[in-house]
Amino acid sequence: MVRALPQESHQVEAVGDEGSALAAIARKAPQVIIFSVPAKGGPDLARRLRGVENAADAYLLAVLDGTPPAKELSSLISAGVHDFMRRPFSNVELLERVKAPERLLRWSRSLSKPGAFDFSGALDVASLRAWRNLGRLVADDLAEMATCLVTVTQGYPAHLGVEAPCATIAMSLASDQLELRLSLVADPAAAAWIRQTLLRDPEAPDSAMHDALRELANTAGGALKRAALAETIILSTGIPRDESAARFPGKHDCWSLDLSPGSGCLGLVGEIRKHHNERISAEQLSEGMVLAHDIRSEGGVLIVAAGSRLTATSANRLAAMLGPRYFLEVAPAA
Amino acid sequence: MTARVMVIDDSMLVRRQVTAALKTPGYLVSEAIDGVDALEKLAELADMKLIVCDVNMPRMNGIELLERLNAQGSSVPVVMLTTEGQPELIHRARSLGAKGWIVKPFKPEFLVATAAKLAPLGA
Amino acid sequence: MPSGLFDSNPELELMDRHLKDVALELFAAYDVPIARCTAPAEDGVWRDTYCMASIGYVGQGLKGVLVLAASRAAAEAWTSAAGGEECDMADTVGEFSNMLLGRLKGRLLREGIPISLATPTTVVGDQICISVAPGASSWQFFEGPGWRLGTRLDAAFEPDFKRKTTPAPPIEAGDALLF
Repeated sequence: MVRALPQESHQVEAVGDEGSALAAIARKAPQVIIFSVPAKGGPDLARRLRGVENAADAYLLAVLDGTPPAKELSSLISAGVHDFMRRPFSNVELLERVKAPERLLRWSRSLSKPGAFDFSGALDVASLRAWRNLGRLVADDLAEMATCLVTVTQGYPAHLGVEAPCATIAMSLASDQLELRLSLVADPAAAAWIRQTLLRDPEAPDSAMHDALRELANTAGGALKRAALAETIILSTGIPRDESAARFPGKHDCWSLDLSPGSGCLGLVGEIRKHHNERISAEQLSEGMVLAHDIRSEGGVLIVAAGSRLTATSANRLAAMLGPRYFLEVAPAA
Repeated sequence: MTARVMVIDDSMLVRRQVTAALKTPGYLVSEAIDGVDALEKLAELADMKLIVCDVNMPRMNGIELLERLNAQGSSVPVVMLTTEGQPELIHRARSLGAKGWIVKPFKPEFLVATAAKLAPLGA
Repeated sequence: MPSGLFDSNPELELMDRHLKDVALELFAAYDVPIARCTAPAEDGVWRDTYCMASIGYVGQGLKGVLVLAASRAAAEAWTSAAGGEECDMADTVGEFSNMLLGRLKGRLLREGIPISLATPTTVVGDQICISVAPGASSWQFFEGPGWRLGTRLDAAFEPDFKRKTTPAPPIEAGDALLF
């Protein structure tokens, strides 16, 4: 096998037993692991090979004698084997099978090339009425909250610096691998207005003002979410948080929300970001991840719906219920 | 005459707003920052007459809290106070026994009226 | 297209119309001008087809498949545009079927026809052909610079299929419901 793989393009290490294999994997992370399936215990061997930390992303190619029963093949697949070869095999076949993971690697590299492929071509968020009217929607809710007048203009307030207080809320459209981020940035007069009007305490500490700004970001997220619902788009909302810098390098839409005359101005920024969902085991679930698909019981009963944002409670519950061999597609925590 | 209410929300501003709205007519308001905190405090506070609860919170959200309270056999009425408006969520809360759904930003008079209906003072 | 096909399938006509639009849109996004063209002679599709991708979809009371039949020149052109190599052609055609159906999904969502996509399967060979569609289906053909593309949209509607009507106005801030 070693001779069949060209030296110029392949770095091959050959070992004769499991112990040496595990040691070799631990020394240097392989991209492809080719192993002979023993008469008994093939799936367990595959699991042990996979279990080494360096082997987490390796492509497992199992070599079999003859055609084992379908049950064994599916056990091997469940154990993490990606592909099979039967003895006797030709060098050409070996080369072709080893090329597969190379193609996958090239594919993932081409995905990161700008404009290579547009996997989110499904949904053009910027064309949604909810998005186009976002400034007005948020302004209306703010006005409701504080019983004041809020005027909206397109464009980011020029006087807002990077150091201005900023709160962000991320909203996920997991099935389309999109994340929407809304940020609210306050100028000093708006920060004072927040203290005076919302907190009713002109001396309220910064922490309280930031908390209130986060709640305003939450309100903005809620306004977008409800408006998107009217266009049959369901967004998953995250927990609002502070941003250390009011910086928006990518493509974004912005509005200026001017509070009752003299009460300052809030910048509202909407960013649409693409992300790649991850495929992870139920054990790796954690707070903030968003499910990209429904989870159903064997009988087809819906346990958790697609788009659900996990809390620590639900992540632990699902991990315990589904176990480490259940794989799910999730949008990463924002 | 008073009645004890718990407000559960990770936002201090919202907790303040709810407290301000309910203190005026005479309610005694306790606060919790999320579902986990609420369960700990509810175990210690007697005689809770009403819970006003956000949906999206870290650690344990409002729906999960409703499930827990049900499992414990709690009879305290729960009203959700949230930016969410998704019908499926509203139905889920209702099926878990929630008594109401108020969308933030809320009108204080609606909250007071809801409290008066579900946890009348002096009852 | 058999005459009268769309008479009993107004939804298929709608889907077909959107498919044409998103195909033009997709290639325009890669600066590749394409245009609708007439169907080739009966076996012309198969003679020309080098790579065929099929991707299933399902909605409420609706299911079907989108098939993309690409000539070799088409597969080569798209693969080169995406920076791939000859061995990537099958994957490229699969991805284009995915992007096409993905864009169609966005359009249909706004028409009250939400669908979910499966993953594409691609076949490469000479003169490959497929079986006749089990139910309603519609072919469209497009020409690009030096290549040809055929799309076949199959759709099976359940008797109780209904487009989703515009939902009721969303619940507003300040609204309160008591159960």
